[in-house]
Amino acid sequence: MIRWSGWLREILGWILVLVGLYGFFMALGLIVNRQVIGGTVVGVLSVFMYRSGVGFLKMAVAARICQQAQDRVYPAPARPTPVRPGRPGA
Amino acid sequence: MSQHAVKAPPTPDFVPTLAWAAALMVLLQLTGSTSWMLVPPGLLALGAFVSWQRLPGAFFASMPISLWFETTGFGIEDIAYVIMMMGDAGLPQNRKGYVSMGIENLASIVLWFALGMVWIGGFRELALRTMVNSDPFPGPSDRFGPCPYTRSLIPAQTGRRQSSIGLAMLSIGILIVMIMQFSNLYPEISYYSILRIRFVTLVGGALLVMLAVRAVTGYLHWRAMPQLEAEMVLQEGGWREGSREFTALNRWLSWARLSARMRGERQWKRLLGRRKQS
Repeated sequence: MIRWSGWLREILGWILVLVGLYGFFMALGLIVNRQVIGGTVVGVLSVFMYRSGVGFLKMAVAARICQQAQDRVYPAPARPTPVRPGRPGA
Repeated sequence: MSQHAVKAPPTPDFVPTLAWAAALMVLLQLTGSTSWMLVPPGLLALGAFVSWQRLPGAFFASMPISLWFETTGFGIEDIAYVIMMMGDAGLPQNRKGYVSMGIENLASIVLWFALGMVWIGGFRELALRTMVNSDPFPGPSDRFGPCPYTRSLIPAQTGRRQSSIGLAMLSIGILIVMIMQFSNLYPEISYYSILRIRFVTLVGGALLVMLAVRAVTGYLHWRAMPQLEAEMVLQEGGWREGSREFTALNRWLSWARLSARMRGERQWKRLLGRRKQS
């Protein structure tokens, strides 16, 4: 279960990072076009999004590594093989 | 006799150096009009084979010299042509002249020269040697033995930090190209507009590229983290998210223990008082 949530967190983190970078790019365009205040606001928001994405990524990778270590130490118990009934007369 | 584990041979040092020297060469040649800008990355590529420790200093020192000759408009091949023809052919036409240096070129040359001088002064190497000598390495098999810093002190080598330096240099080269492209796109607007565009592209573009590079390199770095570090990261994240709740719980537990102790003390005092009365 945690495996899928870890991957989801990683994907979400990458999306946040990319959105943050795109927002930063937009802020640059605004500042070049003399819209300094708007560009500053977008830039600050983008930095927050980028930081959130990076935090998401870091925690997701750490959780995945810990989960892999847990799986190595405590492997899932093997399924009991069904016992076939003996042949008649054997 | 100590047994050493057999490790896989590391990537040769010159591979990353050559890679980013070649990329830097292409980028610098795009920004320069003569072949002088090929000299600094050529020095880097050469130093990758000879493992010269003063190489960064030579690189940074060659940058102002190359920029200086760049302003003349004559490349290495032109000078070689003149030398081979013993001056009979004359200098090629349609050049800028010998030295046409504005304030921007002068500032650039001075900055590069200062950086090269600082590096040549061995600041980084001196700091590392001093640090290692003042705190000898207490290794597991050779306590207080020889210096563990066996790698040469050139900037681009295998390893996380060195790779990030290489990427940073690449991003700076990309930025230079971006600035030149932007300034060529708007030849008709005013000088101050070009200055603003250059400034915004330089500062903001540097931040943008650095953030992107940091995200990728950071992700690769975290993927290689050991289990202990991953546990500490999770603990740190858990504490950051729930420190207020943990603090409230600990405060409640502390008060509960204290009140239980005080209650016990009161009971003992009461018992002792009854015994004295009887």
